[in-house]
Amino acid sequence: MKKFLDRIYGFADIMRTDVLFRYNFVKVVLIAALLIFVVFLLGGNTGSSRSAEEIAKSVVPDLMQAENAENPESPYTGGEDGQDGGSGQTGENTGVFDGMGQGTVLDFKRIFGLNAEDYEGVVYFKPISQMDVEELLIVKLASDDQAEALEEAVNDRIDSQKTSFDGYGVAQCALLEKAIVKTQGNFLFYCVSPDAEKYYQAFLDAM
Amino acid sequence: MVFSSIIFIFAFLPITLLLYYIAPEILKNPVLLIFSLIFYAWGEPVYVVLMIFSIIFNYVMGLDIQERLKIGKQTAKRSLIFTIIVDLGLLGFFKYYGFVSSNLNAVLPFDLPEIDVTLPVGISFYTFQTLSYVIDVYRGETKVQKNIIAFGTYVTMFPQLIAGPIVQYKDIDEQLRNRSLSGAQIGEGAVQFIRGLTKKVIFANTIGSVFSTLSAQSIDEMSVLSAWMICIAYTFQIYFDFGGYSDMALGLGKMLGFRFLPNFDYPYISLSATEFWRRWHISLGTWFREYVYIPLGGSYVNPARHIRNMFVVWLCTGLWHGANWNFVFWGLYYGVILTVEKYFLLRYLEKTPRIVQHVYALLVVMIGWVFFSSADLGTACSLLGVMFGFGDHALADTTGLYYLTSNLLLIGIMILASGPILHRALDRIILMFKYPKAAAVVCYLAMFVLCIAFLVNETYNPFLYFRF
Amino acid sequence: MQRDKEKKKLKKGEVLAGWIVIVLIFVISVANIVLPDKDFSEKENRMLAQKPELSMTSLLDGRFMSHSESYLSDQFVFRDLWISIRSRFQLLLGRNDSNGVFRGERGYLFQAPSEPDEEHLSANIEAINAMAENPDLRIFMMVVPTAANVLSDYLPAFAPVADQNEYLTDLKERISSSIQYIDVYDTLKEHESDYIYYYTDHHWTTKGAYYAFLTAAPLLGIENPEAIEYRRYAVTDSFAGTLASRSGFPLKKKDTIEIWASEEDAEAASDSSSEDASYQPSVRYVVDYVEEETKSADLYDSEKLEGADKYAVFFGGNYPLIRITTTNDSGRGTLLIFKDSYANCFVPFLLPYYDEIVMVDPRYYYGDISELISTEKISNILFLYNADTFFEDTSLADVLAPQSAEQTSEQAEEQTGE
Repeated sequence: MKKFLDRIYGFADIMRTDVLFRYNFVKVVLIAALLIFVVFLLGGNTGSSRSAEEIAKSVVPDLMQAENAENPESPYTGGEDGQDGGSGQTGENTGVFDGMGQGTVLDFKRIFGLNAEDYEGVVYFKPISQMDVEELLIVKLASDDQAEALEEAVNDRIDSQKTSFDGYGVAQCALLEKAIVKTQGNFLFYCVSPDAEKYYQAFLDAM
Repeated sequence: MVFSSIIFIFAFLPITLLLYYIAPEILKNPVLLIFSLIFYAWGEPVYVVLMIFSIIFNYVMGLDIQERLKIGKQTAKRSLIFTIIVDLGLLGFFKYYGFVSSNLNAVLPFDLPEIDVTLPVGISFYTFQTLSYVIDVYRGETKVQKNIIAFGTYVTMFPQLIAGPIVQYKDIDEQLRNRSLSGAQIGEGAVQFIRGLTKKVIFANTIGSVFSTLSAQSIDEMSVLSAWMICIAYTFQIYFDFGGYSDMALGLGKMLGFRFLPNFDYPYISLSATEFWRRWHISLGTWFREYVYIPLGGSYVNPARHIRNMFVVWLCTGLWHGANWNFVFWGLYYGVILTVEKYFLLRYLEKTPRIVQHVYALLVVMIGWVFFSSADLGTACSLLGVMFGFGDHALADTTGLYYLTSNLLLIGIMILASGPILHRALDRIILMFKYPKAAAVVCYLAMFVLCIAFLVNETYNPFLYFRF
Repeated sequence: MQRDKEKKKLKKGEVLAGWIVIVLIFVISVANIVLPDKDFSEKENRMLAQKPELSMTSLLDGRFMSHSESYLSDQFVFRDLWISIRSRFQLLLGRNDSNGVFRGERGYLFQAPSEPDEEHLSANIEAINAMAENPDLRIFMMVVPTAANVLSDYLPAFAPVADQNEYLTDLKERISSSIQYIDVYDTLKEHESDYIYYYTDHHWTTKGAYYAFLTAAPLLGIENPEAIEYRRYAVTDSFAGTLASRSGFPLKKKDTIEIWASEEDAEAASDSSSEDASYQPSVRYVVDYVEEETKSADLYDSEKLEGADKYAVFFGGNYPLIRITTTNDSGRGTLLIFKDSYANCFVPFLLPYYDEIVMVDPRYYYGDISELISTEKISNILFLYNADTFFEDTSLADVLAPQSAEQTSEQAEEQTGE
């Protein structure tokens, strides 16, 4: 113990008296901090090993629950619901989740022009009516090079929605302007909703 | 944050000025430093850390070098080299990794890892500033700055942080310690800011949208007229973009009590490429001369060495502007032309009438801009091909005619504004009034109102020298 | 001496100007904070940005910053005034276009014709042609040229506008020969100096629709369309449409919207005792907004006249599925129309000749078309679009042919089953 304290005093002494030593010490600390920063920067975009469904459960637990209650056996992306989307809501409405209904493989293909089977996991909640724009998409990529094409498809979707509602649906256009599209590692998050920020935060936390 | 935006003019600036003017002398630098960091962080919330690192690191190294100088030049030199390596290394990594690695991948047997970094805004500017500081300390040309706040203020000062001018430390040392704020200087600065804002918002952005619209055409279907319109549009856009921004920077500096050296001196009235570079981005040229050209021997060596020096400087100038081959080409293009001018062309040029010299200089500059503004060398060459009549292109088409006719007045005004003519005419007109002071107020107020009108309407007005 | 004195005066003037600018900046900044936020901009016809939420993530990725900037810009004091200053200045400079809208003669604003999106266009044509193979369906197609095409004489000089007729000719060649194409270009061109397109909006006027109707009628099997007389009611004369808000130009003229009611309908008006010469809804129709689950007896929604988008007076705007039942016994059965907003002022002219008309807007409708066709016993189908919307459309193919999507999902299920 004494040796350790001695070392510290010795160190402090040198720092006090030897100017150059002081500077060298600071240099080392700074460079180390820089390297840590760069590593964090580059590594910041890591993904997650959880499945799309798990992440979605953290983001919109009520919606996922409602869906599971209706179809306890079928996996999420296999549903064969009616064309008008089926309601993701059970009897009780939590109010916050009014605006979206579960989407199917068909919906995903029609709206984004992509096949859900190409990805490792797709969770999609689509607008509850054709005059609505609130939707949520969480995709777990099978490989990193899918990110660009998927993002492009999502942005095309946002653009065509904006065109459809241009001049007619001002509230819808306003929501579309605040859409969040983010690729985080091996996941893509897309949401148009008054609560988009909250969902995004929940998504990041779940990762 | 960009100067020409609502958030800067109507949120950041009033708060900053208010606090800065109220603050007592000792607190002025800290206030400026804090708000400059906020200014930078607004655009780069993550990379602000990098800039803070640069400040602390270069501050410490300045002290270190100073200390070592007392011992001997060799040890100080080693410190200097270490600093330069770290500073340039940062710049090189964040700015040039993608460029270098994609080019190396073409020749190497293996592929370098793909690292996805975005360019931190202003890194080329503040890196060159910190480098100028440590080199000047080493050379003994300036006192070391012991106050980290003052040093931080030098590096981050928001008027010149994002887009210059590149202020060498020794030119500002005195002002950092001691500067006076006079009502006259503040007013002068505000007016210069308005002049710059007008150039940027009314001229540059407007002709810039013409450039983007016309550039979207496919080269194959373009008419000669359209190609020239693209070149002309960009020539004006970058002039008023950069000139406007330089005015705003100097104006803001004055409002804070600083006098920066002018960075932009009516470059388009030049009679040669050599003169052009004495008037365009003056601070960059000065920096390269001071820290690269002269140390290599400048022009006081045999012609072969001299040409090598020119080559190095212009290669660096081109690269500094962007991590792409068209920028390298652009730099070398000027390197060649300036060498040719120096060694023989200027002698003959000077004997020709001014108008010939002027047209020559403008042509050189405009062709240069085609390389500068194109996405890559191939596009640049194609565009030049259309401009000079190669290939099967119509002389004029409706698109070209439309953009020419609808912008004729604007182009006319811009031609006048690219020389001192417009400014002098404006002054002359103001003085003609019975109450010249009132006339000046009306004039600049009108310009300001017009700028606000344009800004409120725009949500997007990028500054071209922004990502450097 | 004189020069120096002058320079001094100039300098003083500049300093004064500079200080006034600084004061103005402070005044405006304070005004921005003090005055309350607005929700909606009439002039721009969009919602204005509100105060953004602050969160760690939105700070770190810059979203908070860009939202703040839009917020400040959208809520700037006297925003509309600044925007009109700018448009006026642009016009002063001699520029005749703004945001894709050209300002032509006689106060006309024109939307630049859109170029076809080949990928979607082929898909749409393919889907329509596939439908035409069904021998039980008679298909009609009317793609209406827009103002920039028909009124091209009024465009500003040299306006770089694509040749829409080229695209329309191409379209005619690509559709199946069993489809009856209705070309209204000639008749509209004939009436070009008439008020057939709105000055400030991209739609055609009721009059323009009528001329087109006269041309379409014989091809649809309607004899003697001119037999019906119409009463024309001007329901508003202060209509400033989509082109006005998109361009921000100061307006030379505003538009008048007319409702044309047939004599019979006017007689059967709900309030036929009224002495007032204004429009009264007829009692002969029931308009069923299927998805919204509401019904109306009126083809027109006069509430929309109080808002900015007055063209929506026709059927209240665009809805996924509208079914209109009449008291007619025409023998022509039910007509299914795939449409965009151009159809809204055209359909009233068709109503006397069909028992029922079903309107589908594929941008918003995702039901099952084949089910709809069999339920409603549809034998006639009309595609009614304006050229711009048609060439940009990305929804038709999907709505018309969901069967192909079902096939792929079946294939997918087979694969996952393995």
